[in-house]
Amino acid sequence: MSLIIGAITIGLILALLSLGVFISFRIFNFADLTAEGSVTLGASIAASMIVAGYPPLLATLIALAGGFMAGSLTGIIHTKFKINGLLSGILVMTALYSVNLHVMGKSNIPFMSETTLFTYFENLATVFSGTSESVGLFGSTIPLKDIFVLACTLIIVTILGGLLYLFLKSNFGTAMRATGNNQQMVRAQGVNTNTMMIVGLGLSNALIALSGALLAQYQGFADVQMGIGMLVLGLASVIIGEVLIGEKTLGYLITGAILGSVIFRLLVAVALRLGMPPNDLKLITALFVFIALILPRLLKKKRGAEKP
Amino acid sequence: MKFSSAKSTKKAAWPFIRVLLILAAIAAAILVINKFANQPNGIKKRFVLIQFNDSPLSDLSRQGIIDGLTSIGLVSKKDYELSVSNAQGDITTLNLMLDAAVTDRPDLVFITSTPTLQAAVKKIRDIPVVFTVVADPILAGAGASFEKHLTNMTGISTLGDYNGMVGWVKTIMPKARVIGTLYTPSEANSVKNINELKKYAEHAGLTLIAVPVFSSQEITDATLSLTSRKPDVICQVIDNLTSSSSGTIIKIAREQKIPVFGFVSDQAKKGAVLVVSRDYHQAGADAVKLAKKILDGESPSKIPFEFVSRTEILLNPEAAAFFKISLPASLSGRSDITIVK
Repeated sequence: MSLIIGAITIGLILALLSLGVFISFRIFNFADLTAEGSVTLGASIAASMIVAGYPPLLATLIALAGGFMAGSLTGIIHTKFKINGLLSGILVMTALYSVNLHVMGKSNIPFMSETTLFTYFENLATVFSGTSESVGLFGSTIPLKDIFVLACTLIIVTILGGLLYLFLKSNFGTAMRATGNNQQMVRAQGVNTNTMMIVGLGLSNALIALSGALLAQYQGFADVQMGIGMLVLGLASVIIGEVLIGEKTLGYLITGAILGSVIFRLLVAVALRLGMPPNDLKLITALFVFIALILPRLLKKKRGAEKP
Repeated sequence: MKFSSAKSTKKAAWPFIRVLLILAAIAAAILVINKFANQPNGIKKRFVLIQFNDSPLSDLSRQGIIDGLTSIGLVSKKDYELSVSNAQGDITTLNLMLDAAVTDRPDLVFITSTPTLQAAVKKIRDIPVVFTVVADPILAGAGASFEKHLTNMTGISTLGDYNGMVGWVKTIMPKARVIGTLYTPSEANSVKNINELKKYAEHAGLTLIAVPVFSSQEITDATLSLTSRKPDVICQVIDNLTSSSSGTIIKIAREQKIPVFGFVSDQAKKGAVLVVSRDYHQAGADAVKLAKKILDGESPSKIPFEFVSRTEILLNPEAAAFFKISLPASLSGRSDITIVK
């Protein structure tokens, strides 16, 4: 049961990553590699500030701002200097590696007994129920604070998902989505598409950095290598969510990105729990994701065939 | 909210419900697997080994743990069951592996490498943990000192024998003034290692040149950059990146006529003149010795962290001859030195 709670919590934390990837990949149609640097940027800013004694909420917000700056930089390189989107992302990601080492001053910062956002969440358990004991659930005992951590993460992700929906439905957000579809048309309406791109990528990486900041606080350390492979994770989650939810309107896509991330983590958890030979883990994960992606299509085909 | 008014509410909610059902189905699958996994199968003890990535260090220590369990008289599949998991370098998977261990509730968890220990410090509260192949467990958050540490943890530190290495440089190459190494700034253990080497080197009047390297494809350039600064000898510190690429480093240094001293035993075969190696196989076996104490009923909180018990000296006379290093006569016939051809 700890595994399920842990998988869902990490899935929700990484859902912010997939929301960020959703903006760059689905709205602007390119795989923004800045993500791999900004996850770590968020983690390293949050970790070094918290260890230096700043309040965790402030540290997390500064991490978010740092991600926004990194993403905007990619946007500026892409739009003002006319460099290919993929390459702009690679440039900023590469630079961020050194920046992250400077931010932390070393390659890895562990939280010893510092108070993090997750300490607050754990303490809520004691405040609400007067105890931090374990509770029985489906035949196994779970520390109550793990459940509160899960609940608080769920609330944060739901609020941010809602805010993102409202933002993208606003005039500004609609213009931003249109920029991804048809730049010329949007420019003809008198909208500055460069600004849209820069703000959009900033927003995307702000969410990704926030995901990194939360992940570091959840797992108890920030490491300069933690961003490796994150873009692929995000892309997989966005696509899994999209395929499973099967609807293309904005609200569904956002919910899909969040749930896709959780489902992806749960699939990895199943692979782990089956006790695979350690070297086959990634193979099995890839296989599971493949099945998750083709299953809805196969079912649809079958249903279609039954109709007269 | 135009789209929801266009359709009936029931229809609009269906995709969400479908995905939530899938979610529930996967969670249920895990619960079912749990139920079967936890059934008693006659095996007395269940151990879990969690590793962060694939490297020569993780392979050697894993084998050391398996051999160690045999040497304390336990028979695999009868007295114990060891399930090994390796996150293959992915930190989010590493977290899930620790969750899986907490769910599984084995009798004891073995872990190797620093990131795994850091994640375990946060996740595992009430299962005994024995770590190994961690350069500095204090830095990783496992305790305040080797004696005073987290109550459910103990283990083996594999910090290299830098004092010993500097001594060997002085013995074999008394004229050496400058030593060099590559290091990986992104690995906490690597930074710790060069600081230790620097401390002992400066104490002995040697200067250390450390050249940073970030990925395996930069190894060649970084080695050339190091050799162009003409150190008398390269003492390559240990980290995951350079220990996987040590063949390249040694080959290039050889072309540039600079001898290499190393800290990982396989480097001697690859052409290093001398290797002062913490024995990583032994590090696994030592971890099992601590585990044995815990299985016999001692509390992990009472068992201090230890350094790995055996340091190997390996000497490659062919490489020494190539660099025209004359080995002192006193070395021949010493039982603690292994000659590698």
